[in-house]
Amino acid sequence: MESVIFEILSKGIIISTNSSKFQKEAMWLMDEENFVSLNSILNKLGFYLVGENGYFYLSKDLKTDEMEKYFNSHKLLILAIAQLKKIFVHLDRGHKIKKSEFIKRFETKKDEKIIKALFNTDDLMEITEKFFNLLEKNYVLESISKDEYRVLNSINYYLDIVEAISEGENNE
Amino acid sequence: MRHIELLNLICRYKKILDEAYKQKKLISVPNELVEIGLFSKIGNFYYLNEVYLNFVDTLLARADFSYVVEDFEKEINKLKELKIEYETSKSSIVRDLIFTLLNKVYQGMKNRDKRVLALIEKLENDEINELDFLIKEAKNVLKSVEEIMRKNEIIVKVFEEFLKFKEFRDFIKDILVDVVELSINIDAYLKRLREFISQTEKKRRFNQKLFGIANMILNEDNKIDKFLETKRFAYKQKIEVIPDSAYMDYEKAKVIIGKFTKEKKVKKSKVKNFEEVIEIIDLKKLIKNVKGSEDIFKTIVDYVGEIDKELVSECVRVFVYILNHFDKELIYTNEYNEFNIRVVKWRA
Repeated sequence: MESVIFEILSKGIIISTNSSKFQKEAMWLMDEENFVSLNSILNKLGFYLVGENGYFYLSKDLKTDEMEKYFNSHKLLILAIAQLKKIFVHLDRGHKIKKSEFIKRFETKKDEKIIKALFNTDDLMEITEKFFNLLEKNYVLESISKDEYRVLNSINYYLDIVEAISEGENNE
Repeated sequence: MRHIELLNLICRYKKILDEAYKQKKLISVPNELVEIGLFSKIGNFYYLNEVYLNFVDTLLARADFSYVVEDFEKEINKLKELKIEYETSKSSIVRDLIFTLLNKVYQGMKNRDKRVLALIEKLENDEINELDFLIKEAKNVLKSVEEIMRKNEIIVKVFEEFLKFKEFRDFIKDILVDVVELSINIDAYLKRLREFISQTEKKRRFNQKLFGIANMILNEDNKIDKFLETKRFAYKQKIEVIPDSAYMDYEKAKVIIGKFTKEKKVKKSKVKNFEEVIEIIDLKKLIKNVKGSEDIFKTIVDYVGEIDKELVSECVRVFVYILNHFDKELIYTNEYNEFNIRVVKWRA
């Protein structure tokens, strides 16, 4: 199981404990003994196994250029989550959301700047597909049915980044 | 009309009443229901009588945001007046009236308790309305509940004044037990409402912050990048350790591994049982090759590639297996190979 998990985490995937897809892996990681033993192997390789708030991820110390790459890759997701929160103001991990509801509320709740930055189209159906694909591909949402999605615990990873920015930072 | 006839009428039109309760208004209803006052026509629509809606909502412990918390002030003032009158007259009519009013206030308090609880649950479970609206509503309910708490004390005092009359004593004693229970409930409701307001305000503040930061990203504000570069996260150690394929360079690893195998087959082999992999690659022979290796991962890739190109994608698992089982034989260097995996040597 160690190597299976390493393979998943090394792709930058965040394993959420409320994910159906990675249920076995999450269960295994939730066992403290397993977590500690895997972490000690990974530490020797220069990685850190991080487990917090219902999700696990692999990390390592970053060089300056990596830091920039890291943030750029996260910018789009922060934007997408901000748009999602404009549509579902109460959105939280574990919630179930529907694509059809997203479409219904989109016109009144869309942030044109965010949508323009994320997708090169004005077509609502195309935007919806791309939007849900982006979040599903990055394991923020998990599909339950054609219309319904589960919000994975890993959303908090991105929200924690926002939370971590000191209060005065965005008002300076 | 007798009560039983009213019940029959309600039963006969139960589907229409149910529809009206759910939809709030109807375009047409049978005339009988209008004549009896169950519906009123306003403009082009028929609306259910408020008395009926209150009756149903109370029994079903429901409340919507239009519910106004009752304080029974008028009933209590009337009870005070009747008490003075009864002290002198001892009239049976006044006595019956007092009983009716005491019962009305007591039942009303119980019904109000149910509906306040329903209102709080409605607020807590609301996932549709805007946060500003919910905070405003919750603050209004909180104000009303605080008022209830204050007025309940007055009600209890008035009830207690009737203890001196033998004819009311048992009744008052009975209801006072429940009234104390209701006051305990009120106390819990206050706590829940304050918690809800505080959590919702926190959620609103957070959303505003998220939207603010999204704007900074959109405006390519370098403060965000600068902030990250200078690692000024105020949160745990997350600043220093982050997940990203950047450090693993998985794509690069895949390209190199892809030289030995086709992508589709790589994917297929991922699900292979690890015991099988160990058996196929002949672990003992691999260990012989790995002994003295300057870069164990690269040695594994070369070795496994020669045996079965389809198994190259299993190298990471084999590598982790070796690290796990031959820890004492290994030296972990600070260098990284072209797969961006740390160079691990076999101890000489």
